Amino acid sequence: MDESVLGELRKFVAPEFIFGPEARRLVGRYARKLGGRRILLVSDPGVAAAGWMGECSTLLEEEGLHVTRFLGISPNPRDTETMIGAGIFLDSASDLIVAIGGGSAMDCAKGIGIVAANGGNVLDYEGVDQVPAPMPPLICIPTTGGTSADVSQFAIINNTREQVKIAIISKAVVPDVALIDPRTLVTMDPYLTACTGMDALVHAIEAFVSNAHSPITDVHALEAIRLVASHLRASVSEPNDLALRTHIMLASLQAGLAFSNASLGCVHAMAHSLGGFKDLPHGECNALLLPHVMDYNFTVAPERFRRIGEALGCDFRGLNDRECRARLMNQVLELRRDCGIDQGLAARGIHTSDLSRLASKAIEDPCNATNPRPPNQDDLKALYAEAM
Amino acid sequence: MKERRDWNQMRDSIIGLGEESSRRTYYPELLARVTQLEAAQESLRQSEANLRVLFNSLHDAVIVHDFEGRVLEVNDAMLAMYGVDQKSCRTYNLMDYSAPSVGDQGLEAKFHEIWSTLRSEGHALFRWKARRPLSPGLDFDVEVSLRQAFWFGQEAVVAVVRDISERLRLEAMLHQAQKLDSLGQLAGGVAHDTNNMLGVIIGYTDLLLEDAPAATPLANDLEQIRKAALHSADLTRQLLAFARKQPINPQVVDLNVLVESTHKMLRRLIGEQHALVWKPSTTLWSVWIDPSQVDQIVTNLAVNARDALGSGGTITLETANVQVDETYAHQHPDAKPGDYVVLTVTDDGHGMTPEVQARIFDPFFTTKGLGRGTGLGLATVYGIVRQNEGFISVYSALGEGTTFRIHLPKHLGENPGAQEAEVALKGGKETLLLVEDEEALLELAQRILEGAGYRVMSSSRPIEALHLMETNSEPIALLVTDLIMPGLNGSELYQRIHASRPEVRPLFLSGYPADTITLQELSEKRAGFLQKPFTRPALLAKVREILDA
Ligand SMILES: Nc1ncnc2c1ncn2[C@@H]1O[C@H](COP(=O)(O)OP(=O)(O)OP(=O)(O)O)[C@@H](O)[C@H]1O
Ligand SMILES: [Fe+2]
Ligand SMILES: [Mg+2]
Repeated sequence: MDESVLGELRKFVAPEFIFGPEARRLVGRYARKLGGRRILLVSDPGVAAAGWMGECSTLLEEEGLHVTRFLGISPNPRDTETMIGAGIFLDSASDLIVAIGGGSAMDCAKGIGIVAANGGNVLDYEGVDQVPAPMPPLICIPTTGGTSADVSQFAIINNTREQVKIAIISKAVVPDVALIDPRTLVTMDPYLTACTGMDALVHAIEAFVSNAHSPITDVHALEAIRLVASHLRASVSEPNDLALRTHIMLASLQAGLAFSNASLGCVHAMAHSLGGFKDLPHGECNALLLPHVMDYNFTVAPERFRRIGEALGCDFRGLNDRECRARLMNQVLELRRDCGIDQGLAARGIHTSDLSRLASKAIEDPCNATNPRPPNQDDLKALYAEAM
Repeated sequence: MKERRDWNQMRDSIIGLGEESSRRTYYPELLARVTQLEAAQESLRQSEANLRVLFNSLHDAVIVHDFEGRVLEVNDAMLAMYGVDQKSCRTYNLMDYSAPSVGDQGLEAKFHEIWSTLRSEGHALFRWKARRPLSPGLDFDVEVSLRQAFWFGQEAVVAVVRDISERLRLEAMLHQAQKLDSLGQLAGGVAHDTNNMLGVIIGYTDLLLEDAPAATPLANDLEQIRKAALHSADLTRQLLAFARKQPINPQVVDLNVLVESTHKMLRRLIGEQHALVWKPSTTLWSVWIDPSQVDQIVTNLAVNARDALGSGGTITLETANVQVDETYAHQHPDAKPGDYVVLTVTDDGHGMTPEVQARIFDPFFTTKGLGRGTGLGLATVYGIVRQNEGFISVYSALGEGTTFRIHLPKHLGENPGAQEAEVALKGGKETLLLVEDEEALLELAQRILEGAGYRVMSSSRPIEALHLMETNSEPIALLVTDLIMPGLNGSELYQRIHASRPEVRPLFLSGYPADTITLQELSEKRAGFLQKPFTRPALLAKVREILDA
């Protein structure tokens, strides 16, 4: 894998982003610079309750911009919600979108932009490069440390009829600007902190072992793994520590840069199916599936998993692959448990009878394409079973 | 165990090196504005195209120009009217499109005068002489209306130019016709009185001639008087023809036959040194006309042609059937659409200038020396042709000869039978009632009629004539009466007599009957008609003819 990657032509896509304290407060200036006059502000009730949306709205209005708010978003953004948002965008004659919130708000905002520019239903654009016209300018302000939708070319939308999350992968959904402000993380509760942190970790690990990884993505992926391993536990227990939050936010950003360009793997393919079925938090799904998929993939990329383990803090000196593999699984499970994510799928209402369905949906997910070990449906079903 | 999928293609597209995977930027407001602008532009383009269609559909020429006379825009009608094209039209100034008129203060000054009116009034309307820059000889009359306007933000003038040369031409023709009509009235009046006097002279000369021994100097002198009087009578006849008051005797004729019969006379008239070509059409419709009028037409045109020839010219006479359509009729206000027999007389003589051509039908207009032309020839032809509801067209240019085309309407009705044959000079014993307000003529007619054996009751006043008849039970065979008399005219007198004595037939005498009696009336009353002045044989023949009918 390493060899083939070195000989390949590669591309690295990232939006302009501003990282640091108070970055969010630049929203008005950027909205104006991007030519916005009438802003659709997309957020969710939780973020609104935390005050971030109100502040953002005020900043935009102070800049002389007209703001229309859209808050009708569930934790896993639905196609139906996206369509409503697109209608509001058009009805309010908006010309720019600001998304402030977690992955749900940002993914929904991307869906709104796609439909506003291209018409049709948001589900029509599922897959890779299916978005013909670019969307209106989009500014993302992440308020969770994990999803990285603010820098990625991914939008994950819940297909409510099929009960599955679909992935829209396109350069068109990379935001124009990301304002990444660690301060917004302090309002996250510990469990959400854990879930989103685990999401960032999974992004980094999957990007690192992706068959589309590249030297540039590797740097960001390893650094993200190192940051999560060193600071997530503390951040969960010390929610108001801004320095810890900053480390996690940075981890999320780097993981985002890595996976946006190297893509993901089976953990995400399976998590999308699972999240669409049970409406579980995305990070939680990832955390539950991660160790099993790592185990499944280990044999095809032992060297890379060793480096992941080292970044996670494992000491592999003198260990053979089999011993490494065991130590690595342990390390991941430990981190997960320390952050408060316990038990398996069964405890979250999944039955053995659901597994075939979950696997059949998961196998359709494009994230499988870059998994180091090409899966089939039975592999995925077996992995779900292990995660029970 | 299911087949493992091949994810390679998906992987490649995620890496995203394909063309579809490049980022594009989007600015919906700009896009919307551009779309809006494009739509607005398109509708402007269409509106402009529509207006251009209207602009170019106008029949009047439109010239937009500035206050220096530079042409800014013109429509298609302008190009056609002035004989220029889109490219060249702007290379000319307004001055080039105008004909300078002699004695004016200069075109430029004139323009400035008009423009200052335009500035103060906002509009102006005037007549102008327009010029085609490429053919300055073909100046034409126009009516121009000016409005002030802004043209691409610049002060400008919109000139709407209407070609009125056609209208002016029609006006001139109408004017000519009116002039000829009033001249005709005058000529007719003079001719009427002259006619009566000539009648007296001829009549008495005839009486004297009867008594004078033949081949004596007296008889010879009388013959000369008679000739001169007849010649003068010809003159008055021409005047009357021109005035369209010549009493006529139309019949169905074949122009070919008539022209053919004048051939010998024409030959003599034209002289040996000129060629006379005769090209009769093989098939020719007939016309309804007095044959003597055809003689008059042919003679006059042939004589004029001869006079125009130098030595060794050619005169061509032709006949043809011609259909006149609406377009032609429109261009020749005299002409009505329909079928015509056309007699063409062409010469290769010196031709005419447009100025001469404009006046040739005026009576007494002549270019010939004193005593050589009276200027009545064409006036007569004109009168005759109009009387017969035909029209004349003339084509001539100086040095290029002349063509006269005489259009006579095709005869549509039946042939009413040839006119009466020659009647022998006979008298009679019947009683006639003779009424004539001109005493001299009355006396003359009485002497002629009594000399031929008739019993004549006569009166110079119609009322007295009525009285005479009532107090006299004697049967009266014929009423011989002048048509135009004070009090009761000839026709009315006959009506009164007819009421009590229906067997009495009338013979009307007149210099011109057109005002009081029509040909139709004449035939209804089974009346006779004799044109004044008349000769003794003519009167006696006519009286006998009616009595014997
Ligand atoms: N065929 C011709 N060619 C050139 N000029 C002609 C011709 N016919 C007529 N004209 C011009 O028209 C004028 C008027 O002709 P019109 O016959 O009325 O009078 P006239 O010939 O001069 O005199 P008259 O009364 O003796 O005929 C002539 O004097 C002559 O100038
Ligand atoms: Fe994720
Ligand atoms: Mg003449």
